[in-house]
Amino acid sequence: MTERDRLFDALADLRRESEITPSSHFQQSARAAMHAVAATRRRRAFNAVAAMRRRIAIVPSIGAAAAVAASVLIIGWSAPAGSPLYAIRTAHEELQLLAPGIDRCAAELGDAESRLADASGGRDRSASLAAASLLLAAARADLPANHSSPDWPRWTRDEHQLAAFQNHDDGGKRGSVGGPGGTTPSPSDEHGASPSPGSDDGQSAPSGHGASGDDQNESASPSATSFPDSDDGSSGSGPSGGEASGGRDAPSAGRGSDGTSGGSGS
Amino acid sequence: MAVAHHAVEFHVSSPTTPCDASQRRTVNAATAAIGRIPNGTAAIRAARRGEPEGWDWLFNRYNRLVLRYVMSRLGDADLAEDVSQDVFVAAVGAVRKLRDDSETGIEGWLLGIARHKVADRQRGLMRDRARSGVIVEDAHDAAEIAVDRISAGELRAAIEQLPATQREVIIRRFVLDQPLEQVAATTNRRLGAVKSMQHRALRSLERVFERSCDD
Repeated sequence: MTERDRLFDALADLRRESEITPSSHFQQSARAAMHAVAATRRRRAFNAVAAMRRRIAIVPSIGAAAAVAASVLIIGWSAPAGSPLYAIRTAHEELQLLAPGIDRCAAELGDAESRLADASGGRDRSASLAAASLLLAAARADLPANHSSPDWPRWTRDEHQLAAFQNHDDGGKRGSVGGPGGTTPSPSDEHGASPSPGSDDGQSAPSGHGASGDDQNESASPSATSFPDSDDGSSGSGPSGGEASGGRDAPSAGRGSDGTSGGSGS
Repeated sequence: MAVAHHAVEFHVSSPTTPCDASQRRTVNAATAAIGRIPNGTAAIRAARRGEPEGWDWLFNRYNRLVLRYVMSRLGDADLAEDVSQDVFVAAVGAVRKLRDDSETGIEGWLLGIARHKVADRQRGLMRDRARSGVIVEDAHDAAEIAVDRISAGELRAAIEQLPATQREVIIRRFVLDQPLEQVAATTNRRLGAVKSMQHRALRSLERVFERSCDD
């Protein structure tokens, strides 16, 4: 018997020994284990699909909510005063003012001018004018002591414009109150009726007390006297009847607060 | 003794005659599953969909093959059944990775899983023996050599010493009775390479037993 024969005999023995009949216990337990694992995997896959579907279902809702929020934000961004979304506009303006290194006065003047533009465009005029008045008062508090700052003529111009609008509105009311026979004075009429003395240096500074901080008077400024919209503050048409103070006229007459220096006769 | 008679065509054996009611139920369910699924490809598709019929079909078709392979490597029936169960459970988790869902591909895939599971179990057994201090008996028992016959245990031990590729060829050819072509297909090798590996493996085994005789 050769070595190869011995080896093949051994291989045949190994083959016979390996040919075992699977026990019923093995068949059942293996099948059950397989099915259990398959069921777990199927359940997991199902859950994953369900979770994916849930996520996908949420997407349109999130998109719609985001679209609504974006719309509200966009509309509210430039909402006129008095509008329900005006709070958004004031909020983002407040946030801008909180930014470091910002020129608060210029920013407030810009905001006030946007309110005046709203008023001139007829967008909630009375509320816009009220908001502009508040913003100009705030800007006044932030005006620099240096009167050569470009903010000063800008503020003056805006105050004049505000006063002009308010006068126009007041005149309209008076006219309507006065009955059909009444006349509605136009800003130009009033302006004509109360010529402003103008300032020496050609700069009309409201109240002229920038450094003194006569805010009480300022808040009431400018006088009821109207100033033409075209007045750029350099034409010497300062607030009427203002006391010359340091070469700057002060619109101290206010909005007819005391009625003594306004000179508008309104 | 001729080698050729070992290399008969591979046939899947039908389930054994049931000896009790539960086994009969198992066989009936398996038969029904096989009846609905025409081939391995359909079974794999069903299994991927998580249908139990697919797994039943695969189990019925391949459990004997896997069990025989594992038994030839481990030499313990209980251990072989345990490892075979692990093979099929692992197959459930790995079915998505199967590329070739032909019969040959499935067979190679399952035997590949079985090879890894056997290796895992052998490592575990060695660890256990080392921990318990059991000394493994020398495979080349002098008494057995004296009767001029190599026992299955000796041969198994010698086969385990072969390189993995040669071991796979020997087991598939002489234990699972697979023809050379099938071994080449399931191991993704050329026919010539399989023949060469078989020759080298047999020569190595002969040398092992020649040495043991000399000793």
